[in-house]
Amino acid sequence: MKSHSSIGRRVPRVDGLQLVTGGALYTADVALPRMLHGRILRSPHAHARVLCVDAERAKRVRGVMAVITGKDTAGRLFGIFPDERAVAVDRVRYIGEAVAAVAALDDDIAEEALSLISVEYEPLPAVFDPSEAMRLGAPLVHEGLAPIHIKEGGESKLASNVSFVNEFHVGDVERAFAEADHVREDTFTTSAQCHCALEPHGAVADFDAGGKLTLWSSTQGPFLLARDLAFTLDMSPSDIRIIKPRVGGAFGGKREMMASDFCAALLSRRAHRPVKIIYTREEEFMATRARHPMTLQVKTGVRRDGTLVAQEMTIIADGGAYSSRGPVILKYAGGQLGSLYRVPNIKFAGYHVYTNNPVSGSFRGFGMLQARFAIESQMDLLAEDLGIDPAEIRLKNAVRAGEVTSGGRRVTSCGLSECIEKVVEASGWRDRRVNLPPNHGLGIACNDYVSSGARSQGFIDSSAAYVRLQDDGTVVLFVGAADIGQGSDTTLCQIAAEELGVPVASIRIVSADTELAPRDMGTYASRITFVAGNAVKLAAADARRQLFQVAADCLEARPEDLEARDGRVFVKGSPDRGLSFQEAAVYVMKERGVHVQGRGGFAAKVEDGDAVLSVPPPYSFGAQVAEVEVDTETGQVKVRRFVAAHDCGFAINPMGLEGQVEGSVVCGMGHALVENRLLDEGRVLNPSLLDYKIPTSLEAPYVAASAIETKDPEGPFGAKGVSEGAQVPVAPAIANAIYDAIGVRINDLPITPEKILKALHRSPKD
Amino acid sequence: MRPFEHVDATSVSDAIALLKAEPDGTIIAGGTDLLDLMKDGLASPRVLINVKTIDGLDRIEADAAGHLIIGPITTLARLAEDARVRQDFLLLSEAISVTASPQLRNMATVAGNVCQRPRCWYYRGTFDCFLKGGNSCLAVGGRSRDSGIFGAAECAAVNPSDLAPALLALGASVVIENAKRRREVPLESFFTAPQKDRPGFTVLGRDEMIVEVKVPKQPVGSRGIYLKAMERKTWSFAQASAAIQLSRAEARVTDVRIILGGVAPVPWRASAAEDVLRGKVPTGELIERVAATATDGAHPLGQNGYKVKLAKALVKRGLAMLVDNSRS
Repeated sequence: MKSHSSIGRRVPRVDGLQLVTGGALYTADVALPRMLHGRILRSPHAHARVLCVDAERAKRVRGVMAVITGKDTAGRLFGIFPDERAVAVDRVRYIGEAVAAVAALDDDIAEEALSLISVEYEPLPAVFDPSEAMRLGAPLVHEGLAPIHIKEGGESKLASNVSFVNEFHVGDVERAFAEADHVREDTFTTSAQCHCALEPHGAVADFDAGGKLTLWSSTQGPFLLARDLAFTLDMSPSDIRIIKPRVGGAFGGKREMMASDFCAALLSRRAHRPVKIIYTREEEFMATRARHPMTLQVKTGVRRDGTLVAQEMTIIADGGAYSSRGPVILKYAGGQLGSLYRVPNIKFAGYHVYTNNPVSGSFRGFGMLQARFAIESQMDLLAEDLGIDPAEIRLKNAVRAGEVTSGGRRVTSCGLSECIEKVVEASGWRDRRVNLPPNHGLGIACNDYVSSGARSQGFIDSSAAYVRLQDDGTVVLFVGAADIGQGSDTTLCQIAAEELGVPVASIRIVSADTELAPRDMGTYASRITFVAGNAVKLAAADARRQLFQVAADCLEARPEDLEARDGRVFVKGSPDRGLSFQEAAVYVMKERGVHVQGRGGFAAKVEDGDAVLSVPPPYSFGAQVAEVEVDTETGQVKVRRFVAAHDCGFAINPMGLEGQVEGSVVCGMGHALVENRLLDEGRVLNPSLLDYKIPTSLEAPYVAASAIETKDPEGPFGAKGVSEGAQVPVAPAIANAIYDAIGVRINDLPITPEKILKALHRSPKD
Repeated sequence: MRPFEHVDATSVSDAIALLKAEPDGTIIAGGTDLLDLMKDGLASPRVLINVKTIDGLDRIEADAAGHLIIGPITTLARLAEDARVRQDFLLLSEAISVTASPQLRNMATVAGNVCQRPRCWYYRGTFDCFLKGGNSCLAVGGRSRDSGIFGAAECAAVNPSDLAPALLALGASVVIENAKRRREVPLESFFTAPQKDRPGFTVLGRDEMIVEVKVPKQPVGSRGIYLKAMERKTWSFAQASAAIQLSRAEARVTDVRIILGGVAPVPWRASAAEDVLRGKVPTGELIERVAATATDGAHPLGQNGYKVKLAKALVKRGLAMLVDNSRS
């Protein structure tokens, strides 16, 4: 088998030098002549009618060039579940919702002008707890939303404020529970984790005289952003060009159009000048998105030998004031039933509930993470009930390649068992679990994840790429895919380089610019390596074919006898009969006038309609072991080590995989132990990185990550996604390790010293 | 934010004169707390009186009696690294090493740290907090995870300083000047719990300035320790902390000061616990009793009961470490 030159290698990032020298351009670095600075006025009320917005005084402030309020907008509801306006018109539903915006010569003037806008509100009753919101008679977050039938404890009842219901079942769980040797039911809750990307949301908008808009935005999906902007601004998407500069982290938080995008654009149209809006850290916490807090009930039936026979899950998700991606997130959470372990009978009920809290949305793990926290925690509880090792019960039930899951997933490749075996071996699980010092513990958890998305806004998941050969033998790769810090530009360059037979250094990438690059759905669902990677591979193969067609004449050979490798085109078997890429490029262009321009497109296959979750294969798998030490006097948890193995199909760049796993472990550890956006009647109590704590390098454990390579038949060079999945097992692995260490099980994230001390000191009478 | 003027003071008397002349003036040195207060609308001075331009305010020296004299604008970083401090007042270095972040320690000053305002989120955020004229303390029936377990009668905010408990454990005092007089106030009576008729967090008058912090010489063999429980290892205020200074003759404890941080509106002296220990030989069993007594009189709110356990654990651990250390 031929070895690879550019893939499967630890290639430094193509944008690395710029990033580490401070030369990289981020949205906040974009500075245009005559540019104005915009600020957004936000609702101080969790729920209120907007009676009147008077901006006259603000408009008269010297240096203020434009002011917009809801009345100046088309007032259109946008989103994949359209229920939100870019700027509120007659009603605000959470503290932080945009009600007006100002563009001025500088930030201070804009800030002063904001304070002069007077808004007359009529406060309305608000509701902050999802279970209270569901009670009939609770204040309606969206007026006119009719009560809906939900199931509670086997009974059907009416509930208010439920914006979306997802219920399904496969097989017969009731019968399976009745026949199971052991059944247990547990309830879990998860917290509102915030993305905390170091780069805040922001945009720079520039309308030209012809009414065409260019917008630089810190976004995960320029093409979908253009659609939302066009719709809300009432213009054609083709009149909008979105450019994504470098992005300083997104983690799901930059998938949707933000008020910053919309207001910068509309202010620019009004002022006839470019407008920049960059969010403050406080706005990040109160007016963007956060991970859905969920209450998850899981009931599972097992046979004595640990074979899972039935699993039922009910989820109530706090969606906050608007739907965002919430209903899809809930659906993906339900899709975790039977996806990782074979469970023939499954049943799901998920309820997405409106409250007057800030909006919940996409976040690395996308609902699958919350579901997996519950299921993986319960797997350990079941294992203990049955006296089976936690790793063994997982191995016993692990899905395998070639199976179709009870949820209808076609498992094209699966290294789950190998991942479990790998982390068991690498963590010394069998010996160390019994020999660890007191208050030290090991915990295991697993995950699966998608490598592409379901339909979004009606579009099948797809990507495209162009490859252009330059006359110096170098290559320009054009892709719509957005590198948001995860390194996809590098991975895609590696794929193109490998397919073309040139070094990675010969490739320049133009990505995520809606005018220059072909369309792409955006960065989510861990889809870029698989979907965009396949498109890039096809485009590079097309370019190579075109090159061979012409170069064959020069080499007096047939095109099919040529090979390209390490920057040379040569006749197979005779490396001396060849040309460098530069020579070949000069020949095709100069002598023949041929332009080599490869094109490739790839669409994820649409699965049968009866699949529970119509996300096509491939699926990635993983297992992690956490090692923790608990201080039983202070309740503090130290995460000492993480051992992770992830089936990514094939690691295009092992360094990229390690980076993803390390980042996931730290972010997941924050979620498990400390991160929690706290609210008091819908107002964020801790809207700063001082009060909302994320782990620092001092807390980061040693992470040993390895790739399990199963070479998926549909992936580019066998690759699947790996990025988001790596965060999924982190919290349950830590929770399981804490239990192993001190015998205390916390089902409620984050697992704070407060909860540990309370549980440890719980007297029998409590 | 209100526009302000920034004036360089040339001497202490100049600074005090400026303070007196400008009722809306305030002193700025490190600015690490003040600027945040101004941005959040919690302070809106018209004049900032810069005292970094005054010579000698950042001195660290010993007087004839061997007491440590610290200039008010000495940065935390410099104080922690000072050789004399590391030799005789290690407790201060220990407390500073877990304060804020290196960047903040390079900017923040001793007097500024001692005078910093509470971090309670109801105070810092846009809430109708008692300290800002609200009817009652919102933390009492609300999110009280970070609130005090002692003395939370009208306001449950805690004094957030790490340095203050350490200074108190060493018996420090502050020297305060105004236009008319100079007075020395023991730190123990410097801090005040905010009350309806008396807002503010210290006895410092608005026309007064701290001109030095004085730490008395400690008995030979006296040792201190600072332990702090926090949500993460850096850039985090104390969930609870314990500053302990222990002096012994032979095996017996001749003197001990136990000050708890992060649990009360002022650095909280656990006098009853000190009494249990004073004059005794500290055995493991006695240390348990001291720790159990350290939180006598605590009244936890709905969500901060864990602070009682934390404070006890820190006192127990700190004493055990001090006793262990001096044995070796």
